[in-house]
Amino acid sequence: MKEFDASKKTGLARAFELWVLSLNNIGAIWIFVLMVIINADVFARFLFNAPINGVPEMVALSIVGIVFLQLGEAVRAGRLTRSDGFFNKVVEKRPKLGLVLNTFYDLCGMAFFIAILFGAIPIFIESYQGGYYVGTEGIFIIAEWPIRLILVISCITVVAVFLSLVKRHLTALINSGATEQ
Amino acid sequence: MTGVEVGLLSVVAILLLIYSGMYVPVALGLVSFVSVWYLRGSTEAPIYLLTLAASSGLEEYHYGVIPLFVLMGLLVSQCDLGRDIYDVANYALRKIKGGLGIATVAANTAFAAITGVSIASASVFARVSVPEMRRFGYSPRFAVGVVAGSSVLGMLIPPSVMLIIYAIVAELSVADMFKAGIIPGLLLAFAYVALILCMAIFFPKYIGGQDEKSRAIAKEQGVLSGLEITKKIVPFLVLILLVLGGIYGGLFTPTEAGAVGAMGALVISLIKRKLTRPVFWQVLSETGNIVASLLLLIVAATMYSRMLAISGLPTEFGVWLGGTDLGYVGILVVYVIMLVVMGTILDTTSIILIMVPLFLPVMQPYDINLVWFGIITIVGAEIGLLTPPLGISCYVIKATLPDKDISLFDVFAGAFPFAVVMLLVLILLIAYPGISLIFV
Repeated sequence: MKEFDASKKTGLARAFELWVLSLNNIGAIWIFVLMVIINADVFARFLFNAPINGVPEMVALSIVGIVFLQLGEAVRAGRLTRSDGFFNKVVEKRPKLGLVLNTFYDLCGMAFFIAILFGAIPIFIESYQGGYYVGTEGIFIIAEWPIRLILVISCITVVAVFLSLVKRHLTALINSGATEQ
Repeated sequence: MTGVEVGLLSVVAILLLIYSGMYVPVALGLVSFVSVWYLRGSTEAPIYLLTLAASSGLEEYHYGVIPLFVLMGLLVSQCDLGRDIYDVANYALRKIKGGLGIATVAANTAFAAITGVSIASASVFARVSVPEMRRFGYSPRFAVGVVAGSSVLGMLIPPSVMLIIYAIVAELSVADMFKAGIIPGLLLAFAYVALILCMAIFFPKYIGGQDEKSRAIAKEQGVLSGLEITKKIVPFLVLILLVLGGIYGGLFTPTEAGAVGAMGALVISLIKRKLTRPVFWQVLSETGNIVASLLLLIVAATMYSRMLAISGLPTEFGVWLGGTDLGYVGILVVYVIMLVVMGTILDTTSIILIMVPLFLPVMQPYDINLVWFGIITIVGAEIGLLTPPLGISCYVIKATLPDKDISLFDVFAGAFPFAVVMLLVLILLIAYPGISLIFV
């Protein structure tokens, strides 16, 4: 499990960090469970000729869960894909410009996930109220709304992570201005 | 502005934003979002498309391959299988000139058949085979060059995450792409071996080693017993048989093969006692982070290709290219040059996701085989990984080298001959599409 750094943080910041890490860990366990379920299905099929119903549906629904649960930590740890060759040179030569650019990029990231959130909320409400499910009735069905809820919760988390990054850049920017004078 | 103008402007804006350091998925997704908003006149359409890409668009059974093969790749990197196969290859090739270099290529080829992440092979072999070659007096430039060159084999030889990503973008079967990657991957490996043999014969100074001193070290080294060799090879054979055998034999879907392979890798690392609970957590968590960033790229790229389709740019671009004197071959040449240039700055996944939606409609009138086009795309983009200013493979190797005396320039210089060989192989693959399509 990822270690949780408890040094010199306010209660809220610590709780938030713990929250992001918990989502990340749920996603990590999910990958493991996915592997076990598919193996169980394969073995049951070959050994006892008795496949487990609904595995393809479970796999399909799992992807959204795994990806979005882990995105908060991926963003926080700077793991989103970027081409940083040029950017690192900017940071080296002009740290302040680097901070300004990073603030801008993280604001854009925030906007992107807010856009997803705007679409995700109505989809969640619709699937919850409509009682939507996937699979075939009588054999295997699984309700859709939990996965839609995970999408909503994860998007809110990612937006908050971007916000905390923006706050950190701005603080650094103000501090660097203060030390120069 | 017309649709085509908006599309063109978007592509330019995306490239500029990416090069200036914005997160690739955010640049792709957000610019596409704004463009669709402008073209449709309301936020309703872009929000709908984006949410579709992020929810039901991801709910695909065959996307399950990605986390499972990444997990498998990280597990096998964890349990020293790379070192094992390298030891065996070394032992088998010890009498040949440049044998350690050839052993690196051979070990990489075998390793590629059990892992889908090529950055994993770059970092494993930078740690394992560079020090070994240095010990035998090989020149640093040659040693790192071999590792850089052969690290790209991982993306071509199945199972490979790149083949999966292309299959997703081009809406092809993952199994077909896996079948297509094998022969080009082996061809590239053999071309590397030929290059190393030529160097050993004609430029022995460049390779280094092969003198009294290195022969003395070789004598000191004991012989590997049959039992030791078996112990080192069996895990490979089991994993390759499970994964590739399972897929080609039609026993498993690629997703199932990924799960079985990951389970196999888990069992092997438990038997070899290489897996503690914290290490396993780290592997799972790392898998999650890689998968999250890969699939977010796919979400953004889905949005981007919808935007392109709405703008009509690819069709218009195709008509324009068709009207020039370039012709079929000329268009392919332009495409490959663009891939290589982008490869010097961007990672292969991003390149595939940006370029393929733009060029597929352009190539459609020429009645090309999409599987073959995928192999060309991957090899083209990979060449860039070996070339300055920002070839990613070279950076990874520089970062993981234990020997800090070897400079980044050495890595690029050493990789250069291998990049040239890759280009020759690419030309061969373009000229003879049959090479990629034997098993498809």
